[in-house]
Amino acid sequence: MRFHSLRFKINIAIFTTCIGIALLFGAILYPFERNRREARIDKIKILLSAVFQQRREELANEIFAGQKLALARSLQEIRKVNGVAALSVYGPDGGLTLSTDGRFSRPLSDEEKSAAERGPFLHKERGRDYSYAEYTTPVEVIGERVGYLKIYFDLSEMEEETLLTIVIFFTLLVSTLLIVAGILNLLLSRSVIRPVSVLRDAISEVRGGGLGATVQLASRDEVGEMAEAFNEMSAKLEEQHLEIEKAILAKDAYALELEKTNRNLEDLNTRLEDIVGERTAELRESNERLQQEINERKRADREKRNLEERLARSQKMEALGLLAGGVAHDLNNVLSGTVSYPDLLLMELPRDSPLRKPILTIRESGQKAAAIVQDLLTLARRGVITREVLNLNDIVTEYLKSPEHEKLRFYHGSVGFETDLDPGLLNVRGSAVHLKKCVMNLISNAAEAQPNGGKILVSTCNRYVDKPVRGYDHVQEGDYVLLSVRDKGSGIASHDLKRIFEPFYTKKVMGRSGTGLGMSVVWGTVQDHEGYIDLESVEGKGTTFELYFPVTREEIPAPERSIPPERYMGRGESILVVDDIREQREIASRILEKLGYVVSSAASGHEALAWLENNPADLIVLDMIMEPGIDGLDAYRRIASLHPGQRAIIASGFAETERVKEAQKLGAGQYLKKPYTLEKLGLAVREELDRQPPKRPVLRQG
Amino acid sequence: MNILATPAKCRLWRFLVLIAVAFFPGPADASDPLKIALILARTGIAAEDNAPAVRAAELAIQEINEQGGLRGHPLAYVVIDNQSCPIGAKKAAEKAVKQKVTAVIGALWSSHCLPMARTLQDARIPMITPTASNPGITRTGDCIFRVCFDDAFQGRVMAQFAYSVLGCRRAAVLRNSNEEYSLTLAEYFTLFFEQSGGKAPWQGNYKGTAVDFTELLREVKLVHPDAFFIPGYARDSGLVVKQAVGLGIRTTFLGGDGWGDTIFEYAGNALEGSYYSTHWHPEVPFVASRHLQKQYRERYGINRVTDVRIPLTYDAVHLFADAVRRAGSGDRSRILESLARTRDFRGATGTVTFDPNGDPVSKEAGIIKFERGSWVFVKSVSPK
Repeated sequence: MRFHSLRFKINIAIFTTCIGIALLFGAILYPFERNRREARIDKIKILLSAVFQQRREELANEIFAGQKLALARSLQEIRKVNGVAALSVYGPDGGLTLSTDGRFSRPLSDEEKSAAERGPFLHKERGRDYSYAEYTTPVEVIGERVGYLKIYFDLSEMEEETLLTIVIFFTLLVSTLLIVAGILNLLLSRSVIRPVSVLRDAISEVRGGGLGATVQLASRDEVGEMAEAFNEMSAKLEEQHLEIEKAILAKDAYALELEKTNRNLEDLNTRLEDIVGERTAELRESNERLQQEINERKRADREKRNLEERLARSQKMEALGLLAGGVAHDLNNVLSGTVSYPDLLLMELPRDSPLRKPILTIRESGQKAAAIVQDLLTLARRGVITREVLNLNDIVTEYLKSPEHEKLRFYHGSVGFETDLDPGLLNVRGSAVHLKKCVMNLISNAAEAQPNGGKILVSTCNRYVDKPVRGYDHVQEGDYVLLSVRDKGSGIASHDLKRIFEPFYTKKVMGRSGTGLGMSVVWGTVQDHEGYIDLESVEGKGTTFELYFPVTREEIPAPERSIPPERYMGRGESILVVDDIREQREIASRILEKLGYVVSSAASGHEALAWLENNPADLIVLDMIMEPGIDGLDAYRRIASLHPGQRAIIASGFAETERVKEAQKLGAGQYLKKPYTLEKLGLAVREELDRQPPKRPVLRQG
Repeated sequence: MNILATPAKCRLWRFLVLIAVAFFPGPADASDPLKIALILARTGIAAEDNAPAVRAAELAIQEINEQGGLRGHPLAYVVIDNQSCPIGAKKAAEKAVKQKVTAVIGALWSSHCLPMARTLQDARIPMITPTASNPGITRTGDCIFRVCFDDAFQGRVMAQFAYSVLGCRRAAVLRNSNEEYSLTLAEYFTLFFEQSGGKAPWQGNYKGTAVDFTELLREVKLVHPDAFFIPGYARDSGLVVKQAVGLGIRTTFLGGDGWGDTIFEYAGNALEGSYYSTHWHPEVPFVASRHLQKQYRERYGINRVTDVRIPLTYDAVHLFADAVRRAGSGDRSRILESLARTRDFRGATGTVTFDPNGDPVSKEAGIIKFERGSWVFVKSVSPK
């Protein structure tokens, strides 16, 4: 039902009227009910008063004499009176003497007492589940007040009656009102609400477009008249509407066209937006791709630059090494005189000759110079490197006992040296001289990095690298022996790090430490040993060098003993020395003659061939590198074609090369590393001569 | 009214006494009468029971005055009604105090004596009860005396008699809840009966005004007691016994001194085989008792005094007179002292010597049996 409907309003009116009637009835009933209750209470009071009076004397005496047993019995008897719920007896002071019910054991209040002084009174007490009339009276006999009596009269019956009356009254009232409301509704509905509703519906229809709708109402009252008027109005409206519709129809066609166009435009717009959106997304995608490519390229660039840098560094080192190597080669030949002649001189000199000592010194100096040259050659990576089995611990220990180290200590008194050597350190294959130099250079470097004193820790350990370490070098996987030298010095600036291994690149004052090749030697040595360098340096905190050398499982051979010259003395065999350098030729010749050989010499391969065409030689000492003209290999090839199986030993200041190996394949014997020493040359010659059986019969013999 | 029935001589004496009281208030003068109050029930439930005591007291007073009064003072008395209730008794005592009596004789029932005793003790007026046996009465104070034995003794006597002589083992006990006498006696009986070895499986009580006991008696019947102790007064106890027999309860009914021979009026032959304890029996050999019988015969034409209230009330008055004589003065405090020092007073109910409580020592209890329509003395029991 709507709030503004006629039905709702009429119902409200009926409902309000009914409420009013109900209130009126209630107002009439209330005083009646009230009077009835009061009359009832009065009756109760009279009844209780009578009950009390009947037993007053008895009760009084029992209270007075404290006969509780009798008193209890008296109270029980009074309780038998219909409606009496409980009784309580109080002493003259109001304190409880006896009660038939524990619930009523509170003492008499002062108000109750003073009220009772004026005579018996009735007081209503109502609780949640009880309703009592309390009759309180003083107990007095023969002028003697002995206490008070309270009778609780149960009013629940009366309350129930009242409730019943109210319920019946309201039930009747409500049902009457409902019936009246129902009838009124029915009547009004038939005569007013329904016709009006029909009229309203018709109006709604007209409003909704159903022009020409009519209402059929039989009633002749106001509503009926209204219906007739409506019918007329409706018909007129329909007529007008038809006319307007026609006009509108024409307009509508135009409007429709317009709307269509508009919609097309809208569609176009929407499509355009979609396309723009797609394009934008594509653009963004390609942009991202481009950015990615740029990033990749940048990274590749960086990588390349890095690689290039390393390569350049390497090339630079190589070039420098080559330079050093070139110098060394010449120096090496030059040095031969200083190294080899003392040996010869010593053999000639009597044992007590005063010249022996200076000559020994000369020899030593020569040897040292040769060592420097070896350094240079190491740098060139063409150094004739010895590959003996050794242990880095021994190298370190040996160095620390060496005079060089003593000297270092002397210069750097405030630097402490510590070692942490792995006793189970594996062996490496390499050159003791080079490795020792490495150690020395690193320690010396470390000491110099700490001019104000400090500490150097030299340690060795085994390390298995299971995946490549990308440090200063890229260490490949494998078993390594690690030599580490750590200082707490000034550290190396990062821009210097790249160049510290370059020859003659130094930040230090030249002079004391020597050659300017120290770190280059280290680098070259590590390269020659197929090892790697790792280097960590923090400026102001110190530097740690870590050298990785591949391990070998071979054992260190027992130390060789010096072989007495008798073992390699010649027995008059003829030997041809081929060397393009005169000093070398002379030294070799002198040594061999000294050993008892018949020595001839040739300054080049051609000269040697020419000589050999007419003279046989039991053995040829052939220098590998000769300039100009043919080198050792070519020379031997031709010799071999002339004298197949010609015994020869190959000598060279450089390391054993492919060409040396090729010569050996053709029949050449041992490879001998220069500079010559008596023992080395003697032994090599003797061994080659004693090698049985000769590969081919010697023609000369025939 | 019994007083109206007194002979002319008595009436003359009373007149004289009243004259004397009117002209000379207080016992200052030698010829002033000493006034005592006789407080007992003249109205109410105890009136009939108490009635014989008035004549007994009057007889005693008459005798005393005939013998020349007490140290020259005639003995005057007033009867004050206690209306058969504790409050009435209290009021009566207050009235006696107001009247400045020298002593009070009465009351006869313990429930009346208790409130009286308190009032009189406060006023320091000597009170001598002839028959109230509740032990608490004399313990109220030094002014309260009695000439009968108490309920403690009586209860013991009946309990032991029931157990030892009658051979009872299960006793029902029914008490009058309005009477201290009844409650206390029942208590002592139960105590001693159970001490002897018997059992008291049922105890009931009723109101002093009750007339129908059927409901209680139905309970008693279910218990099958071999003894039924009913320590009430003649009216209620009599009705109980009669209704009990009517209900077919076959047991030995036992009672206390409250029964008296008047119980017969209520119970009749239903009493056959019942016992009760008493202070006195008409046949006792005491000189005073024989004297009393003779006086009643001569003065009132009553052949045989059987009611125990009569000799006890008679003794109470004479005991007071004896004390006054010994005190040599009508002064109350002297009389009190003298009363307390009573030794070997030979009364109609035996010899009275007061103990410190004011109770007589060594008063014997008699046990009476109702046999073939009459009361038969069975035995007497001495406190020793």
